[in-house]
Amino acid sequence: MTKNNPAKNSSSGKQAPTARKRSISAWLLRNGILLLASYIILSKIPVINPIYGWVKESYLKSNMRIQKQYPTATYDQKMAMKLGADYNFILYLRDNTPEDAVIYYPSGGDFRAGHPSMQQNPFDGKLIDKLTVVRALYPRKVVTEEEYGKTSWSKKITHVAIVNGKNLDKIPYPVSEEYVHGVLPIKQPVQPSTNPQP
Amino acid sequence: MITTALILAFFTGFFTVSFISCKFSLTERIGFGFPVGLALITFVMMLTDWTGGAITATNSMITTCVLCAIAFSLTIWRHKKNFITSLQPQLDFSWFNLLWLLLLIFLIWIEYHNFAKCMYFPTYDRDSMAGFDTIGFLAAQEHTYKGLSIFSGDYMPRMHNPGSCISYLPMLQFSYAYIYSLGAETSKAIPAFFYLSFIIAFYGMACRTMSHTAAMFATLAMVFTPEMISFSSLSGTNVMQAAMASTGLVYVCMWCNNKQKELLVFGCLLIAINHWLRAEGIVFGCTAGILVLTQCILKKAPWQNLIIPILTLIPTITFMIYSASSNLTSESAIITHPYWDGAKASTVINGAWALLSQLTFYGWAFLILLLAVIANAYYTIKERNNMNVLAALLLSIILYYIVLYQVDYKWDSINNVLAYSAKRFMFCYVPIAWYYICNCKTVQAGFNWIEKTCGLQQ
Repeated sequence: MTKNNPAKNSSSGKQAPTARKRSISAWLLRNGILLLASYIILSKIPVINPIYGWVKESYLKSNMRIQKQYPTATYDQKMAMKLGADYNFILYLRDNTPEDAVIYYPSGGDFRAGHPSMQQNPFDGKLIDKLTVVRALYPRKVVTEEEYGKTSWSKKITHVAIVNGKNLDKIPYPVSEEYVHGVLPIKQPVQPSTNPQP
Repeated sequence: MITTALILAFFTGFFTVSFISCKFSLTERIGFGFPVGLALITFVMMLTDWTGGAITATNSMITTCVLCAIAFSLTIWRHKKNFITSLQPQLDFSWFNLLWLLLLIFLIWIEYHNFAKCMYFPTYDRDSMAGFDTIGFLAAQEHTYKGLSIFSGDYMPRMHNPGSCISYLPMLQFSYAYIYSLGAETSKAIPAFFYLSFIIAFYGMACRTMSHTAAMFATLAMVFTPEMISFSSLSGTNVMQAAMASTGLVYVCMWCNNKQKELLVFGCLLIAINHWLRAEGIVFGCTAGILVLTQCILKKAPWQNLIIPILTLIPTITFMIYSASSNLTSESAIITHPYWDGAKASTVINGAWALLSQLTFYGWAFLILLLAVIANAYYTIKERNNMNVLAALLLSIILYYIVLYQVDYKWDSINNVLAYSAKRFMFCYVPIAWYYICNCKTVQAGFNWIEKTCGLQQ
């Protein structure tokens, strides 16, 4: 493979004696033509295959625009930018439960179900993987629908996360049916907290 | 402390590459410094965790400092003054032309945007949040990997199911644990610096066998691959594995041509890191083994060389023993015996063709590769030009799809894997494809002409 390299061939001493410096004007003229031709070809690439245009405009430039628009955004704001209302709901759970809480987390179906009192469901139900939720709520513990009643942790639940009015039946005290989104403690019959603004 | 740790990780790798040989160019050593250093640090972190050591900021820094000092001492002991001499840059710019400069400016512009995007956004991709990043974060919080709360079957009943993240090779998880243990808010410095290092390393590696302008073009074309660049700013293992597997295989191919031992050793070190990142990286270890075996049979290379590709399995075997002893195992998702299922084979072949023949995910990489193979056919047959790279590329693709065929799809459907996951598996072939294209004699002739016509010397 090395025999393809002109630089390495010349260093072996076979052709080196004939090499001499090119004049600046000749170098500029030749490189000017080369540069012009190359630039025209390179600029046509996104036109011929639009996916390269996507890389340039949508991937590189638009992400840079976001960074310039929100240069001081916090970790949570950036996550919410990418993950939407589902992440804001997790933040709400984090901010309204103690660190030793064991939280029942709703299923994807609960997130996607919607509620008659809301014209549009703010959630898309994509943020339901348990590890993702565990990461965001750490050090709180998380119990999912499929584990409910089956694991020892599901017997230690201290809070139930409510979305679209689902899972109110898991609260052992009366709760208004108008309660749509939020988090309620299992043991302490306190006033229901206000709905979050996802 | 994070900056210091990352710099020390870089120097650990830099000295390690220098230890293997001082003949590696500065560009290669700078490029491969961070990935190699990180791989060594994470491997020692696993051994420490195995013996009961805690994952803490103090332990992470001690590990890094000790490894860096060992790598430096061994390099000085082995190479003495040659090491200092090898640090002097080669200042030969007779080839310099404005096309090279234009390509470099464009490359810097792309990587600046990509690097900034990677560092700005925290980890938000599903695979990383539901695996790599979360495991790393929790390991730093709980100061252990093998004893993580999420690995307990009572808390995570599905953790031992087939395809679970508990059985993933842990380099990236330990990397994230490393940076989180040092107090980082996000782990994104790891993928950002890894990819930046890869770009420099790929250029340095390509310069070994092709002109500077051809190497710059190959690097730019590789970086501008749509799906690969967009994944490079996420936190998954795919692009990192692609970086190590592709460059590792190319170094082994270079060894096949000139039998310089350091190329085989270094190529196999990179393939070992690829094994340390993803289990299916075994495909590239097998390919390297077959290439070396072929050289032993056909070119009478010493049979001892076969030991080197075999040694690439050290990370995998060590992790298997570690995970078995720590109960970090999951149900196997691989069918280990040979079998024939015509429908499944057909699905796999159709999936492979659908991926490799479209121009969206990988841009023009595989189309131009096909044209380059045809254009270089005469020299391939007559002079065996680039033959090893082509053989390695084709063999590893075939092996990869054999692995996909052998997977028992208990946790997902084969169609889903082929449609959504396999596109990331193909990243490994993009750098090899662009290396092959620009290293072809016919393409080289064009770039050589440019450097001869537009260089500073005539």
